[in-house]
Amino acid sequence: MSKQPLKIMLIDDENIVGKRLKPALEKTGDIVETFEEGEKALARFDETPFDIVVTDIRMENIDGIEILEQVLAKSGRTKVIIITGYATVEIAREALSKGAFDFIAKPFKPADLRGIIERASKELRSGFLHTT
Amino acid sequence: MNILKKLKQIRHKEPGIREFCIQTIRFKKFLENARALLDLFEDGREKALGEYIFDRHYVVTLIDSVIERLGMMVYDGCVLVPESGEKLYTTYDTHKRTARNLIDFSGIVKKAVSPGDVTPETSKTVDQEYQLLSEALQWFNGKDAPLDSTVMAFMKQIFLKVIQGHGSSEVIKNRSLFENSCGKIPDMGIYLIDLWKDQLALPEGNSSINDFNSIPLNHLLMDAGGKDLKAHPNPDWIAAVGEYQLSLNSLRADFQFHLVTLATGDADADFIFIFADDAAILDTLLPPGFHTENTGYGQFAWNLGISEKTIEDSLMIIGRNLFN
Amino acid sequence: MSINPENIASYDTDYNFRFRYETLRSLLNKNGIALQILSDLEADLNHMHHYDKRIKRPIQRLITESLLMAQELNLMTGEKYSDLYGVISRIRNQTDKLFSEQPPDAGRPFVLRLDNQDDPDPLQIGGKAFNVWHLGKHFNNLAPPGFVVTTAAYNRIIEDNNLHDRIRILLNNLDVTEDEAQFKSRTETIRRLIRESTVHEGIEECIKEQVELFNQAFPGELWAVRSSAVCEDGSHSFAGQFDSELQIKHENIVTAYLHVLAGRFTDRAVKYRIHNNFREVDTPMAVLFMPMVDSVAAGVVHSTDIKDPDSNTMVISAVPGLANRMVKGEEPADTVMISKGLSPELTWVPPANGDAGNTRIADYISNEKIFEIAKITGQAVAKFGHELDIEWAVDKNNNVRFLQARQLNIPRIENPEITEASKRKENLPVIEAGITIFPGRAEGPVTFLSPGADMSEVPEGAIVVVEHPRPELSSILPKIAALLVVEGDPVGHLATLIREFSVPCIFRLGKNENILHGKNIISVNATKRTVYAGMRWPGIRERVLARISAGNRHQEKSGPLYDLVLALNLLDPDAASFKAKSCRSVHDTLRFMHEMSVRSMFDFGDKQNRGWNRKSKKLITGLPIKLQLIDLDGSVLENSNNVPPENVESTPFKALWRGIMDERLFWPERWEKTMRGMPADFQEAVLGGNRGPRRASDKNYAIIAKDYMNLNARFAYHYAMVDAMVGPGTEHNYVHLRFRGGGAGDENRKRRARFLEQVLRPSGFGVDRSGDLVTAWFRHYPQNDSENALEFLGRLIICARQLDVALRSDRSVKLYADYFLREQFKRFV
Repeated sequence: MSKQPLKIMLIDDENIVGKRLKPALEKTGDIVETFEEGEKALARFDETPFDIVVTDIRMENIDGIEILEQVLAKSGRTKVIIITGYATVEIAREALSKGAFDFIAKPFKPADLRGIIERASKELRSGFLHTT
Repeated sequence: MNILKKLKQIRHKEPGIREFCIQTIRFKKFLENARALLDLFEDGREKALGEYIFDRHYVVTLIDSVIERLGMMVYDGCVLVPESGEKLYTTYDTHKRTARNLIDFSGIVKKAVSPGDVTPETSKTVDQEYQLLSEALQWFNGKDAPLDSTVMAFMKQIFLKVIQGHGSSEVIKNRSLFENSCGKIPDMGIYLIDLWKDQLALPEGNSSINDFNSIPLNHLLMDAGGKDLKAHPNPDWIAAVGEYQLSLNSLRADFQFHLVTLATGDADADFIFIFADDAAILDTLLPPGFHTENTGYGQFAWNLGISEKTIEDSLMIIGRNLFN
Repeated sequence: MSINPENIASYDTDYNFRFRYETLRSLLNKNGIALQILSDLEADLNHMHHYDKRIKRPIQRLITESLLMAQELNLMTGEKYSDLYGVISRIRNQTDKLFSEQPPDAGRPFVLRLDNQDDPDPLQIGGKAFNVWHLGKHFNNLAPPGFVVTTAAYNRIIEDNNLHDRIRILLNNLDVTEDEAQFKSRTETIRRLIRESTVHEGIEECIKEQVELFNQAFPGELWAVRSSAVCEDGSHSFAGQFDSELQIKHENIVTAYLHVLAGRFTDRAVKYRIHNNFREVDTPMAVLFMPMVDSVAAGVVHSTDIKDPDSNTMVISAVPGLANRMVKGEEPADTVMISKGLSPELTWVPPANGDAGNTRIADYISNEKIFEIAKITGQAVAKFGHELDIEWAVDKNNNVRFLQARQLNIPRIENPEITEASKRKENLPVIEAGITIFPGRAEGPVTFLSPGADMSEVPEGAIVVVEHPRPELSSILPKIAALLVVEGDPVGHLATLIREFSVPCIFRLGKNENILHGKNIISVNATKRTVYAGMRWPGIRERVLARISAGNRHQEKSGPLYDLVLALNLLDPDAASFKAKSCRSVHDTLRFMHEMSVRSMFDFGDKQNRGWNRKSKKLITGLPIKLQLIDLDGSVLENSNNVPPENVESTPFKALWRGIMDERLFWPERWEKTMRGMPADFQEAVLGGNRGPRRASDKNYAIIAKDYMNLNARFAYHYAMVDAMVGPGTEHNYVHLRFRGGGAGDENRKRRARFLEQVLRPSGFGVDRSGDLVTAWFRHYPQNDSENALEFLGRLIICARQLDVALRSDRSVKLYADYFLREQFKRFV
């Protein structure tokens, strides 16, 4: 079963993130677009929705929670993953309750993020809402 | 209870013994803090290898944690050897300033660009965060750093001061303390004391060593002719024990030896630490696998992150070599 | 560039003071770690018995930390508290003893038959089985025979399959989660884990053996497999919480057993335990196996009518065949009321669409049988000593059987008015925020408690709202219904106590607390972190009051480890009993040491008033203040001997200085020019400067570090000492003031002290005034608030200087206090 490449959006105002994550994530053949500004990212999202959005939680102009809320409003199926800084795990839990798929705290290896993205993509592919 | 027994009990509660126990526990804390520092260095080193994504906050926190932990180590050192306190804090303050400078001034372009110059390309070939981390690592224990300026070098200094502080004068004091507190000469020449019970081995006739439920002690003495518990004319050792810990110290003025171990089964906490003022001794004593560090004063050896079994086996070997 | 550390000394520190300061820091640091361990331990003890090896390590670590803290305290105070060593050793030895205890399960049987027991232990067989046994004991042939797979078996299965940890992880934070989907998902995972567990072969053999025995006596029997949890069917009814499995063939019996065990973790059951604060580890499950009764009729009897307990009536519900669907509410039942008393009468309750009348409607059961059931029920009530809720059946041989019995849950009489009101109220909460410190529901009148308020005024059963979680609040915990805190850290003395006292509590309400102003009664659901206006749940208030009158101590949470480690006995630092020897638990020692260390630091400065031979630096300022700085840790960024205030990198100092520099403060020195020519002592009295009848060597000094300051200022005839530690944390922050003296007479000095008290109290300080000495403290507040407090003190000290001249009457005390609180600083000239 061939896997469709994922469209992944990466948002972080620190360019080290985009710089290092993009090549790492593209290794699996997924399409990655990086943004350092939240507004630009959201505008792009309006043009074409992404499967996965990975966003830092705390940024200068528009923060990760806002991005989360707006993305989920625009597209119910997009999985949003939050990157938290070293000290913002509390907020990350809040993000989870607002609908984020998962979070990952810096410092992390790109491989760890890839693992989360894979899980997210599994859910996307089976196209369901988990019920018990 | 007859008078004699009562008197013995009173002596056993002597504050000197209690202080000895507390300082033994304090020394173990000192070792814990040192280990935590090594772990911090290792953490930073791992992140610097290039794969990780981290932010400046991580590095700043790492530097802060190192300063804090170093402060704890310095503090313990001051409690163990008060006479070195002032010097230790002076050096510590230097490191604090270094840390502050690192944080405040890293990442700022240091060269002024004069108006006429063509602006050079932003030389951010190395990301800021990685730059700061690498500078921090230099300061922690960089091999190329100037002598004595690293945290590691300072740690060694502190260790030395602590060990030297427990040199001959301390030993003599301890010896008389234990001699006076314990009526009879102890079995095997080892004064035994329970760290939490404040009592010396009560020489009640049978094997007093077995009264102490201490796993490390049992392993240390397993092969060491332990069955043959004859009264030793010149007690040379003091062993302070707990269920999972042991602190063995030499009482001889001409031979300084310390062994501290914790064997609970939690590899993150367990360790063996040894110091001998004669490096040659350790060579014959130690099983393989130990890190060692030679100084002018003597040799340190340690093993961290190992299993209970490894510790127990090491203790058996050491005990066999030490007591025969 | 090589740095020789020995040459660095471009500034001086006084090592002794430095060491003392570092000792304090070390102690406070350990205190923080210890409190964290305590908090985790509390969570652990919910899942582990005290003899569980995994509890050992953190407890031993905790005790070691406190021993080292004791050493540090004694270093600070010159061995004043050496009693602590003995106390801590003793606690350590006692906990060691506990750890070497054998778990009580050792040697306990996995299976017990009910019919040959003389005195079964409900902890082994569970509440339901115990009641069945009880019935069987008093009434021949009433309860079917059966056997119990004990709690020992349950514990064994949990351990063998490593379920402790896995369940705990899955239950982690479940009590504070609002996410229903996540809750359901987790409980389902736990159930699946249990259903898929391996059953120890010893257990399986025992079960099979029993089943065999019964098979011989009653061949072909089907089984009823029912839960019998500890605490079930006693004063807490888990009724309906667990599943029963019925009509089980004997070959499926072990599977059914596991299914019933899994039933312990249905959503409802888990919620019930969380809500009522049961420890997972205290509510293991036994399982009762009874042969199925082949019934012609079955149902439930309540020994009294719960809708009208005074009517002296029994209520029987009946259905033909098996009762289980009826019990679950899936099948309608016929109901009959029987009046109690010597000549009982029965009345069939007509169904909704039926005819009225006394005639029997149910044709599967005779009136005689009904009477018989009622009679036996009455007798059972007498034997049990309380009202009963019984599941009954009539078998094919026309015998009455009682299958289950539990205490009848009689709800409190609802006040119809309140019910109406709560129905009319909006269903939405007025606040939905914060973090749960302790779960549960409560209702009561709202009481806002400002700092400095008198705590004895707090009414019993109130819901108290405070800004910060100050340890002093511990004294009201036993009598309040719930606690709402605007800002706070979930780890700290008070949080531990709140859990200990089981007070429903939410921290970090935030700005939302404004909503509560103007509300009288509120309802708090601390589990869900919601607050409603008005009364919402009938019956809750009574339960809350009952809890309070029972001392607000949850009985389940006790035990040797709680007493030795977690329990806090030393509550009041001002009480005479607040001493080392009174410490009984580790928590006591931590509290004691924290308090004494901070007090000791405060005293120390006093003693250092002479002999500053060391070099110190002078603070440069335009204000007529002379201050020498002693820098502990390089917080003075200046190598020269004269330092401007902006180069002093000490958080508390900066804050205090901001207060002192407040532009609104009036410095009579500005009038200095007009003073020229006046006699020196008059200048002195007005200016309050540094001259005056004092030794030349006395100076004002401030010992500073990045987050610490100890300032001693002596103005003409009085003295102010401020000792503060202010950093980013909250737990260790404190600001202390000591003020004494004054130039004018005795009366004036006392008035000034009263002035200070009247100004400090409403501003959040605790205050003690003895004669002309005022001691005030502001503890455990976050950095911002602590800095504000210091600014406040800065202004206060300056204003207070002139006051002894102005305070000529008692009335003026209040006057000036008001001026200060309203920031009318010009008045202070």
